[in-house]
Amino acid sequence: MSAFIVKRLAKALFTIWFVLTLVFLLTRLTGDPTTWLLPDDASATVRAELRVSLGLDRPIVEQYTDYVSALFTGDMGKSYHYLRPVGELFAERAGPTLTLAAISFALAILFGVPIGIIAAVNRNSLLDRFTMGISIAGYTIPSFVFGILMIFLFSLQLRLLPSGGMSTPLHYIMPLLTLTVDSVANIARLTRSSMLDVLRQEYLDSARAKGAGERVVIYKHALRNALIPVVTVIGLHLGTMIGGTVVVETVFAFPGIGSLLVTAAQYRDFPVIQYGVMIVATTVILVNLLVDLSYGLLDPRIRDNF
Amino acid sequence: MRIKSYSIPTFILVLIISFLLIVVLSILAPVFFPIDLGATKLTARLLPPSFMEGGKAEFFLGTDNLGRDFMIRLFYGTRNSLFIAFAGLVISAVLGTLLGVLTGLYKGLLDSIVSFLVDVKLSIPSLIISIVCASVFGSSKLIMILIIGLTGYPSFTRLARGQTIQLKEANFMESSRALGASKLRIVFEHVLSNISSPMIVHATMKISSFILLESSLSFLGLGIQPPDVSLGLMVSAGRDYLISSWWLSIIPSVVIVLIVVQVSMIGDWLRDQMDPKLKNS
Amino acid sequence: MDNNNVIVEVNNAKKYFPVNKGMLGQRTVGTVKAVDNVSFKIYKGETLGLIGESGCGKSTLSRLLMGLMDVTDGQILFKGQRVGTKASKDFRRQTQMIFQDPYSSLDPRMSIRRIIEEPLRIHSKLNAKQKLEIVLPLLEKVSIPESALSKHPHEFSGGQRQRIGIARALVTEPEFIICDEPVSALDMSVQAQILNLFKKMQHEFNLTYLFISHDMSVVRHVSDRVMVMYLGKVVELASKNKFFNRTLHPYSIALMDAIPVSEPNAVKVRTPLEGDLPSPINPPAGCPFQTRCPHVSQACRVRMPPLREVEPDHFVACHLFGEEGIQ
Repeated sequence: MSAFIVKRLAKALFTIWFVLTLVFLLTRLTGDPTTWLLPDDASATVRAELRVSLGLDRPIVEQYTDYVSALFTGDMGKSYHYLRPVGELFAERAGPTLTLAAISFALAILFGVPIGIIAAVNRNSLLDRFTMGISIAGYTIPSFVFGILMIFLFSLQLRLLPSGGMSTPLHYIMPLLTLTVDSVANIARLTRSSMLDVLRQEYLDSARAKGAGERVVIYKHALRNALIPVVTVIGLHLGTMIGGTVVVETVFAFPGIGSLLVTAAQYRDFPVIQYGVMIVATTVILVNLLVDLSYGLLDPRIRDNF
Repeated sequence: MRIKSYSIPTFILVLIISFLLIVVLSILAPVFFPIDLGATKLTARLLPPSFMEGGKAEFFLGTDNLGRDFMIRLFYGTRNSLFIAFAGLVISAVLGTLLGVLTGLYKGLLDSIVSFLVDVKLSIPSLIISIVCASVFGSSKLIMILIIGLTGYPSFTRLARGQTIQLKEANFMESSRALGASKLRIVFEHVLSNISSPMIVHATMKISSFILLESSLSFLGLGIQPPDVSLGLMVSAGRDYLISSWWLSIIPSVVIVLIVVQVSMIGDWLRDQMDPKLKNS
Repeated sequence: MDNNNVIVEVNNAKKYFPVNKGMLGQRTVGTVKAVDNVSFKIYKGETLGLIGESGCGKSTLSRLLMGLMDVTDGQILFKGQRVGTKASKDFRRQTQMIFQDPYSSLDPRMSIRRIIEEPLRIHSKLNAKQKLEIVLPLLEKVSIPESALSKHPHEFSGGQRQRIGIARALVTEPEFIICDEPVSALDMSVQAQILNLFKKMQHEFNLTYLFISHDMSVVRHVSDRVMVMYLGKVVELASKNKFFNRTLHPYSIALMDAIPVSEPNAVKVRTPLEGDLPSPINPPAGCPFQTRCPHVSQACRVRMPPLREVEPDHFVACHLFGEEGIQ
């Protein structure tokens, strides 16, 4: 088991390193940032000064070591666009995004998993059809369309909710709904299909044959096994959800990390992008590492394969 | 066991026909409406659709904030969105299938590298990868197609690899090898034909997610750039006029949803036809 | 049988598979000796029946003979030429294989015509008409109508598929065919027809067969000589009559006892196999059959008995039959 943990950990760290290096190389490939940061008629001295102030005058290896060591010191350099330390920008905006993501993630699991189970147990019932209909709508309607429709309805027509910003709890309602609908739909659908797979298994018949009541069969025997794939799906879903916050924050003019990244991409603000990708990749990889490990705990067969 | 039926249900037929209609109309848009997308007519700004109060018969769906015919822009936008999604699909399907078949047939270094890259790709959301690529390489149709192709291939690789490994067990593969058939011949004669149906089903299911990715990127301002047009960009541009001219945002939104629903339902149906075992899951 | 007629010669062939464990598969914890020091010859025009339970190394041996993998040690010769993964095109043409499962041995996506012509596509540059001139008479010989050419495998029964498989194997005019349990997936009534077809084709094309089966009665029906394998080793090798009249190795006897008797009242003393097949990873020293053998002695636990000729054309590897012959 400990070999399993070590192997997974090493792989996760290697993946993070690989992503960081790739992003570093990509952003250095595109040439001299001063060509788009300064007006065309800027003098050579001005360009050189900017290069020095952005740390671009140093050898590329030195820049790379600085970049990697910044992972530990937190000093990620200065944003090209905001001309402020990148760490500061992220610190300001991390709170709202984390609040949004954490609440939405919790809601998605809290609603998605039970809905999936109930739909599977009462398969083909009206409830099943209804929830699956909603969930199909959830994944076919892109979140920016859903967000626009909500703004149109709740902010402009009914005048109930603010359409952008984040100063009051009311500002969180629509972004949360938009972000969560998608996740609930996704998690419910996958829980349902995983539960259906398990309910078809023969060992449940043997549990029934032993005289276990249907309730015991479903909640004791089936659920545990159905949850294994669900846990993985939830782990993988985190990535999708982070992508979702980017869109949702842009739709609702919500000043979080997602909208920061979009602005950074529009202005080719590489220090911000590097740091953002690092945060996203590290979070997703670490969460999936935890998922893998818990998977190993739930299902001994997995870890024996290593 | 469900017996395969080759008759297509009316409902699916309607979906397929209506989707093809959209595809054909958008492909032919430049033939029907040969216009300059950048040309503006500021005297006819923000006209409502002709069936609404204040609309003009000349502009069926009204005009946008720069006085351009909204319906024509909608056709061009659909055309761009579909073109990018399909071109990206071709790249990701070809690349993914190729890598999947190769790594399925031959274990070793290539397999390790490819499965590592697939893992890397799966640990970073497609949208984030797209944002990085758009910021580094800029945004153009070609870049978007490449982005979709490169973020979309891993699921094809996984599927093709799994299918190929299953297929390797089949005796006809072994007997071809025993006959001295070259690797290339085995791939073309046996592997590709046998894995084609699941790959086609998967491709159909993937189109909708590619359309979503394209429209999300354009919506964020990282995809198609004005004066060119795409559905996501139209939704985004219409956002500022939601109070006065809601249709500018809502109509392209509805078109996106319509296309995605059509494609997903056709894909679901196709999957059920090809593999009855997967039904209801 | 004189040595000039040898078509296949196997000399001390070994095929070991390492069993790896550990994080990166870097620790070798054992070896599976799938084929362990096997020597025998196959003569032109004969049928050598190979018997053994699943996991005894039959399939590995047949893959070695087909040149689908290389031996770990020893050598395999086909008409004096070394056989391996780098074998010549000529070798590939002269040896063919027919498989057990008629459902996975024909590519479901190909028409029967494409399936049967595949070897010709690989080995010749004939045009469509020339290929058809080769295929049609063969189809007739295996009793498949010409109309089958445009159909696909799923439209045929198991027996018909096996006939198609035979036609496909014959299309390159091979001399040696490995039949890997070719009838065990078929109904009893169909089995007999197919076995007779094998014999007819052998007679007509002067074929040499290695006929693999776990079914004694099938082997008895088709073979000229019989070879028994247990855990990668040949334990008995004899002409058919000698083998069935006087089965010597305790393992072969146990296999014979497993054959159902046709008359229900016949009295038969059975010594069924007890115990399980030992793990093929690091099998016990000495004779591999010691864990299940009713006559196990001290010598069996120490030393693997060599394959000895205990009477003319009858070889056995067992300590019960020492150098002095049969006691």
